[in-house]
Amino acid sequence: MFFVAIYRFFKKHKALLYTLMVLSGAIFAFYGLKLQYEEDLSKLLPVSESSEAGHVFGNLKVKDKIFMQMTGAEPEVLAAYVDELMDSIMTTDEGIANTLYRIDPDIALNALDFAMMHVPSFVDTALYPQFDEAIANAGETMAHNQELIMNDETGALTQMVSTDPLNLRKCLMPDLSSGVGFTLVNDHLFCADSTVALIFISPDFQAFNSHDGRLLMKNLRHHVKVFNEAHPDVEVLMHGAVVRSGDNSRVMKRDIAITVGISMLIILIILCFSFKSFGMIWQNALPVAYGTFFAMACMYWLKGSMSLMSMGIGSVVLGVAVSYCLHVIVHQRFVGSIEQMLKEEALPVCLGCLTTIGAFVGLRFTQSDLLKDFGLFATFALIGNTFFVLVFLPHFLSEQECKRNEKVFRYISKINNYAYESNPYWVAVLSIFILIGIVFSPKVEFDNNLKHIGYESDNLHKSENLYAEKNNHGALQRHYAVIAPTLDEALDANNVLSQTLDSLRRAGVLTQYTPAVSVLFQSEKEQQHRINAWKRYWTPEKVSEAMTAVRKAAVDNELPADIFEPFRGMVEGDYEPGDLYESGIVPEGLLCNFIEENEGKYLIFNAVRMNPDHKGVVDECIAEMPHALVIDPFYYTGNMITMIHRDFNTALLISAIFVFVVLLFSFRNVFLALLAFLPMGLSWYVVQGWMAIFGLPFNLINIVISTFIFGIGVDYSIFVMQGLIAVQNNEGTRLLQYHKVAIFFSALVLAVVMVTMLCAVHPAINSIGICTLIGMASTIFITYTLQPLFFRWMMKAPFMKKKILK
Amino acid sequence: MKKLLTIVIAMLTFAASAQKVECHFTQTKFIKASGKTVESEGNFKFNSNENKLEMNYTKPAGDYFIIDGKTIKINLHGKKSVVDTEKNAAMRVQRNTLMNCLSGNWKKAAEDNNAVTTQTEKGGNKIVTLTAPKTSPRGYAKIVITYRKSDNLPVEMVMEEFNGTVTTYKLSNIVKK
Repeated sequence: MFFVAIYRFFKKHKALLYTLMVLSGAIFAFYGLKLQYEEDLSKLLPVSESSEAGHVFGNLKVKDKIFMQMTGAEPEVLAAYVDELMDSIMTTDEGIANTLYRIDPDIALNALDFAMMHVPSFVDTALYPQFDEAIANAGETMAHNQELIMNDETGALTQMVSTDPLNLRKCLMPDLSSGVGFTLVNDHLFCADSTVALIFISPDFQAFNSHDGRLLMKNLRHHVKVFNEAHPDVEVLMHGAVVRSGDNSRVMKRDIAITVGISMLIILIILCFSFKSFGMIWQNALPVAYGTFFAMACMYWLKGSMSLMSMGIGSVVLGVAVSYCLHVIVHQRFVGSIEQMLKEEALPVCLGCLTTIGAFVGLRFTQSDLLKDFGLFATFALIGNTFFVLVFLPHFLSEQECKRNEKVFRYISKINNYAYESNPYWVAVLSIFILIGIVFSPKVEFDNNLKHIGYESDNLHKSENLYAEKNNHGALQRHYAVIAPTLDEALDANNVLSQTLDSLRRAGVLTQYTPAVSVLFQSEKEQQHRINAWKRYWTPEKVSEAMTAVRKAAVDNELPADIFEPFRGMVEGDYEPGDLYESGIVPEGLLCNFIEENEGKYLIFNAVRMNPDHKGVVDECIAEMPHALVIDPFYYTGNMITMIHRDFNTALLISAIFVFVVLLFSFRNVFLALLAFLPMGLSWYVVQGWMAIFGLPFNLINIVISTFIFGIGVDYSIFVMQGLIAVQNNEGTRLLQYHKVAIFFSALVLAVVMVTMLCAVHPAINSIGICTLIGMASTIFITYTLQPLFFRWMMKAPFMKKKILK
Repeated sequence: MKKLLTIVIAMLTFAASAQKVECHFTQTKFIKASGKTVESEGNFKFNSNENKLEMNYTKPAGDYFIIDGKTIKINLHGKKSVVDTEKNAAMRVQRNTLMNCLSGNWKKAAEDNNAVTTQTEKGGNKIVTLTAPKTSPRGYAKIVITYRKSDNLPVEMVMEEFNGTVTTYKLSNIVKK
């Protein structure tokens, strides 16, 4: 009666009604449109306060690198092409932190200079026995030196030999070049066989930030396209987290636009055809738009911004909103009286709204910002929509307008009025369908691999395969890191990690590991320790022994004995620890592959190759080490998604309890409440069971949509329950019929949306379609069959009938 | 007044030391280890005001060694590199030594390298020798520079490395700009 009173009040004060509606609508639209959108998929993940890894991981630059590859021409030509393409790309370097595609000769010169100034810092104390061997083998080494000197035309090699006649450099840099796996052509980076030129681009944002990612990818694609037009003979491929994220964002937006566009067109045609009225369009659209702007404005006032992804998921909730509009419009067209419509619809619509909100309330208890945003947005959208439907919309409905396509409605009546509950075969089939669902429901799997809900383009796939084929040789390349508050602590921790990785390599678990960082970078403390060891080793006696051996070997090989004074200078020199990281010698594009400063913490990376089967073992082994990290976004997101899944089960339980309590208060009868709860409860198990049977796993996206199934399931059952009670109260089947027609249209609208979603290319949107379609179908079947059947059985009990009939 | 006088003297000293010359040069590198001698030649430009030195080789043609402020640009048989002397201590020492020696500021060069200096005169020339006090893996064991007494311009520079390699530069047809 409350809404009838409001209706009567505004009927007498139309100007106030329109002012209130336009003004509130304008305010909501004004503030709603100010809402900022984040396209950061990482918001999907819970905020982990305990995990050092999770906290820092999102900001890592090394995992966001774009791998660009160029192939299809001679190496020298490709090298020139790479310069051309990169010159073009770097004209607008927005979004790019640094690039690496060539190693200029000065880097080697500067590195050699630094090495000469800090020789002892690079000598592991374990190497000194090899020095003894080198002194003992001076004769053999000198023969090789003699060859180098005689072939030297510039004096550079002679300088090297005179400084290191014992070839100690070989002990210091064991197989470092082979571990890198790349080769240089005209100073440009190539894969080992020189057929593919390599370009690494580090963005200045996170890969999950799909907005900035899309802009950078658009820019890169433009330059690649222009380049390819000029050089159609070569192929440029790209992969990496940013490429993947950009592709995802692009395809998701395209899919949403296409599916929503097509489904809206079909829905409008169906509604206009069925009701012979174009007014249906705006009568459905206005409340939904009002609810949406209200929700956006509330999100703006509360948070200022929200995830675009959560808004995308939230748009599915608009299906429920349309359902309320349809109930009011359809009912009014049947009864022809707005006041009567409000008397009969206000309670079920309000109850439906409250229970649907209840279904989303559980999401507030998850740790994921995105899920919280989704729950909040859906709640506000439903409140705004329901308010418009019950307060403003009745004034736009005409009591005289009862037009409808009788032929269509006859078919609908046939479908709706069929006594499904009286057909024992149908009941048996449905029961078996539900039973199978319940039995198989524990078998449903949760796919915690975020990659599987992402879109992969052909170019990306080809690029990844080419890179793996040329550089990893069928092995899996993986990165592990250490993290510490200071660089020195990180370097010390990296020595421990490096030893572990080296032992894994020796055990055959890793096929390749090069301790590049521990060879090149050491903490000041370790450097001082090494300098002291150097001094202890190069005693005057040892220097004399070495020089004697060198001189003798030189004379034996017909070389002047006094050209090796630089060697004496090197071993007798005074040294101090150096700081290669801060020296500026290693260019940023190269350095960030080794060390990265991130939020005041230092990370050191180690690349390894392994048999893909060993991934799990190695990951676990490294993740257990103090300060160590597995550099794979999906290793940690996998854990986080499992957390969300656990969270989500709790959220569903909270929602279910909330919905049941509301139903209990509303129907004031535990059996009726249970019966109204039945479609929602059973359909959840049916969805799980049948997804398990079809081998479809739940993922982070479609499991969220299951709350929507809860919402719509409880709505349908409330409306049918109201109709069934009216029948028992001898008010006729009229109310039940009207509600069923509205349910029919609501289900049809949602079914159209879901079917179009099945045609989507993006796996996440596609998975929503299948999951929701199964849920919707089971909800409708249970509501149309089991609910009336159980209700009829309950009414056979006299005490129950007495309780309900009032 | 004393202060002003000091500034004027400093300015005059700077103007006197400022040099801008162009000439032809020959470079002879004797590699003691192999007994080989590598002969080169080219054009030499030096501008102490702009901290710029250019050695453009005509033999081998195309090679160059250019000091431009804090940067050294090298083309050695087609292999080009640009070295930032701020990041490369050895190149920084080489740059400073060369610039100081060529601009007549050999005392500064000796100071930077902890070198022992001797000075003699022969004919119309002044010969300055910088000798390193101890063996080092890099740098020069000895640098001998011959300045023309009339205008204090270098005409010959001999640089001896610790491994016995000796590089001799001879400057001729010197034109002051």
